[in-house]
Amino acid sequence: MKAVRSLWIVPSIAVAVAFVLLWKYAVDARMVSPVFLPSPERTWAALQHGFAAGALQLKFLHTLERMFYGWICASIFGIAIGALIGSSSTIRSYLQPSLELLRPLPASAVIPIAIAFFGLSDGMVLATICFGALWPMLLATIHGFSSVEPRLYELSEALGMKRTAVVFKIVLPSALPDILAGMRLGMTVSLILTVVGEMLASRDGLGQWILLAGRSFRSPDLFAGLVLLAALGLSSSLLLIGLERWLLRWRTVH
Amino acid sequence: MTIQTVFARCALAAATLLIATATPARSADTLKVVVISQSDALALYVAADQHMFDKRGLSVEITPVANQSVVVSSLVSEAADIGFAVPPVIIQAKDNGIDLQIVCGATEFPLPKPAYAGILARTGSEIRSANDLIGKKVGVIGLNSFHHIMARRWLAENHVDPGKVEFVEVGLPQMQDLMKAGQIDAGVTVDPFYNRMIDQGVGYSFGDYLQTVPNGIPVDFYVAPKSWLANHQEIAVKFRDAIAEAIGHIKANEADARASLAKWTKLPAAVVASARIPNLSAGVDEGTLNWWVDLVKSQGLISGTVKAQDFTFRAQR
Repeated sequence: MKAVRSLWIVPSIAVAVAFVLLWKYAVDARMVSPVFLPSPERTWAALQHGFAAGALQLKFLHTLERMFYGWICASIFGIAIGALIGSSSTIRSYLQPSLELLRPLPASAVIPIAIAFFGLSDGMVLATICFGALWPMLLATIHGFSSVEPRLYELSEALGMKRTAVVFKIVLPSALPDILAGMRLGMTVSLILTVVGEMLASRDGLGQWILLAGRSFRSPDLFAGLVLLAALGLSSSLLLIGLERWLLRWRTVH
Repeated sequence: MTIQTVFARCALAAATLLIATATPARSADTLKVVVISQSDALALYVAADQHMFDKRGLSVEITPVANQSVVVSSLVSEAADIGFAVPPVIIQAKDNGIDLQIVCGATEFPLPKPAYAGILARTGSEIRSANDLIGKKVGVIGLNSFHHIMARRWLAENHVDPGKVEFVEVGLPQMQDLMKAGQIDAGVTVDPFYNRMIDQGVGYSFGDYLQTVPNGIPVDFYVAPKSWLANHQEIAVKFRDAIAEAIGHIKANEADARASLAKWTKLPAAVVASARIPNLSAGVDEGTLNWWVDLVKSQGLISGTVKAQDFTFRAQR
């Protein structure tokens, strides 16, 4: 069964290869000027050159670091606030309307406020990532907490469990699938906001690399940056899927 | 209804549709010029307002754009014919396969006095020299922009490694607030923000990074794609002649110049009244272009073998 599931990777690789071939065809047929759309070969050459010169590794690591710390920060706040709201109807009535007011705000629109508080620094970028990425985790945690099987609450009452024990032994494990799904969405938002923050706050990373490459008309370097961002997004997503499978291995598969 | 009536009605409908949707043909001497709205393009504005293009049979459409990247993109995509550009932009464009040539100059050094640009240090920062900027945060309008390149040149001239100074991108209107809040230690700024920040005590000038540029070095010019110039030499020459005539007119009629500046840049009257008339020049010397190529290369912004001759447009008369 596992072998059959593994075979499904072949069509997905084939689709990716087809996209690259389509890209190459578009460039060779001059459908878009090569000044703006470099060929896959030039993009690959730019990647190799960037890594050989040592520039791209450092920028990649800086972006990865900001994305990860921002995501962790967002996860902690999102899950904590979501747990508070999900476990108490009183707190929900106090907090939820204000949170609904803040949620639709685009994170990039609050960057000027973040600059006022944190300056043009990594702190500003992390604060922006935290603000933008916590919402998927928060909403997923609230949903997870409110979807716990009522009989489990009855069981906890019957066993005389304390409230904290109920949260950590029943509610959190039950809400974990939703929380992990929210964390995966939050990871995508973290990556986007990391790049935006780096562009706006002049922080060294792939965001600034892409911005300056675009300004200097170095389209192969620009696309090399985009390829690295795509690889970062894909690998972080796959890691989270693996983590999710391991953490939820206790769930019976029907 | 007879078949003839049907055909007649169809023909009328088709003709109406054709007339309604037909875009007017672009006449051979129509020029689309993209420009960043600023006083350096004064000759262009005056040439338009004083009908110097009209009398040469040119119909010029001037479109202001936000930045240099948009100028180059417009030229490459043929949305515009001539664009207003600074030397580092066309040098980097050439290094990456975009062939732009200079139709004529716009302005050159020396810049008019008193200074309208400089590096301001935050009041209370104790910064007195280029050396004091090491490890500090300096705001600049755009990384790898004209002003950033010139600021780095000034640091190198003063024996400071530009890599040891942290440059951050800050919009000119925000620079004052960020400096006041201590978020940046210094700022590379231009008027009207430069003098306003000094007057309000937010910062003080300690570095005129444009003072040591040799006379005659071009600041900006009008450029066009090489391929376009090859097919429109006569139009390019007429444009150049009109700009040269406008420069002569400005020197003799400052009032006309300020009126055009107010009209095209939408600056307040008080600002226009005190604005410095730039050092306008339609000619460009290859030697001065070499100065720019060497500077841009020394800062690691180009990798290829760009030469000053690559940008020279010579009409085949």
